[in-house]
Amino acid sequence: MSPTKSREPGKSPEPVKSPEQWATKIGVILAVAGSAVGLGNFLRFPGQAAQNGGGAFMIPYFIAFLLLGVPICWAEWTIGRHAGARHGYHSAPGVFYAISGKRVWAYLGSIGVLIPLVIYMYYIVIESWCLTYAVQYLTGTIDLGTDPSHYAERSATHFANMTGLSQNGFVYAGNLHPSVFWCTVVFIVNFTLIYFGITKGIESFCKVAMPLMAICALVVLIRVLTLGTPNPELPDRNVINGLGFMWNPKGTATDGVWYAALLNPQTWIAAAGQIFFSLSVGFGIIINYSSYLRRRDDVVLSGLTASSTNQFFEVCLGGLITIPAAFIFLGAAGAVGGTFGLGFNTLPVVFLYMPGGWIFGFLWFFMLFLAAITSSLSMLQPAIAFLEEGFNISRKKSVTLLGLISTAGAIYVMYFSKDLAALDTMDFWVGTMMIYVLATLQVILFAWVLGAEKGRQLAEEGAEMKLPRIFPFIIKYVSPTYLLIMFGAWCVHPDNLPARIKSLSEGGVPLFSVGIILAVLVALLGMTHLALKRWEARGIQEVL
Amino acid sequence: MTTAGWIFMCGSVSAVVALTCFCYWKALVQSGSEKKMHAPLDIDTDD
Repeated sequence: MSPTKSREPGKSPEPVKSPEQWATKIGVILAVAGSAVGLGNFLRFPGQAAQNGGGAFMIPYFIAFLLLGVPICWAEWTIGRHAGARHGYHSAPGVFYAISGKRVWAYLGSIGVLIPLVIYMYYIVIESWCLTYAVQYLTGTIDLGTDPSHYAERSATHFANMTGLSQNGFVYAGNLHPSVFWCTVVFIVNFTLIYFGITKGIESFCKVAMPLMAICALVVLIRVLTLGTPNPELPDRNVINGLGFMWNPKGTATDGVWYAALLNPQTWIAAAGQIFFSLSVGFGIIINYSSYLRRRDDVVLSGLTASSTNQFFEVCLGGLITIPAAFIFLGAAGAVGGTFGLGFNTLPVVFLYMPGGWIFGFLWFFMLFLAAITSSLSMLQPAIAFLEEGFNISRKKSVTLLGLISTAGAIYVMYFSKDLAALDTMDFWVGTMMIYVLATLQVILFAWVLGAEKGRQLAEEGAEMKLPRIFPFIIKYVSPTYLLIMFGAWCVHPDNLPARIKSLSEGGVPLFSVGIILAVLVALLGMTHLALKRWEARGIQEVL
Repeated sequence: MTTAGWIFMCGSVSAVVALTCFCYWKALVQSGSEKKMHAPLDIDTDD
């Protein structure tokens, strides 16, 4: 018989399968950090900082890290380990059910399966772009011509042709988008790794990929910091001024003092948003990963280590490479832009100017690919855990089923490539809005349903460092308030909910994409309903 | 680059590097070796 005991003696518990577990402590730390480190660390953070006060941005950034990012991480690590190690639940619906004992929380937990599943559908496409660029640098097939005045235009055209930005369909100008082929390759790599499971697949890969990613980034960083003044005719475009463009605290248009940006609420919202998305809180991934820990495994130090690793990649590497490199070769006008603009339009031009640019371009995009694949791997595991524990489906069958579902989603995203409409819509409603919702639910579950003080005690079981005494107060009052203010400010911004609701009323791809998201959500709710019957029969038993 | 820019850059990078080094030192060096390694469980409880 299985080693179980039931809290409900009237029921005969179904045997609980012994779960997979992390083999090493460094393995789980690097896997969680790998999940958090992504394109946003290298492309989104520098842009946000430069546009929102430069160096002054770091004050609200670090405050948000301490009051929002780290406390929510600790909460997720704690409820994940508690539900996984004690009760044998690993998916968000199961974890929520085990923590609360209420059916309604299992239904709410289905959002924790929806988010990584839908994000995976478009993230895999972005991941394939990174690999495509890396291969193209290695083979010398990125041709931006010989006229510097047309580099930017040709770089944008290259990106548009590769992704199908100009029209829907898989064929552009008589050729299949390269992204289709490379996306297939990336798919195979992802599912091969995930098939091998937590220890032999995810953990083994992250233990190699994370150090390799750091080495690639450090090589590029050294190259950027030793560029000096590459064009003597433009002496102002040098490394020091490039760093200054990123890090000098800037005033606002109306006030030139360095702290003026701190008086602007938008700076605080941007900083909190960056921390929130960068640490991957509210994705449903940390609770899944930490559920494979053992009962007495540390979560406090491990959570902080994973978070600090993410910050290292973001501040020490992303903050010193992207904007300074763009400034040195393209000036102030070229060093601003969104994530995709900076990453796939501006930086290829920078590498063209840079001595030895092809090898540094390859290292850069290969590093982005590693950052992306360690994130995408983490997005598959929550759904696999749900299929395994909800329906007793074997890992092989779960991986196959998930492969079919995510392939259909990725094909949809690739087909409706014009202006990246499908990708953008899914990223807004799931990759942004639903994450706020799930993070809020998790904080409520930890601080109000489980209880902040009990949560602190659970977190400190086996912990290698104590939580700050103020932690229960912060997670119960400060973090949710911070989160709700941020969510409210984000919702009412004219570019967000009002604009998106208007675009839905016009129909087309955005409306169809939201329909797909809703269909997936309804399917997951139905599956949760079926899984609950199984879990209720089993009871919230403790696994010894 | 202004003095304030140097302060923010060096302060931010130093703080993050210090926190990261402290965490890895504590997690990997200070903790006992038995806590660093787990053997993956391979128990089938379907009996």
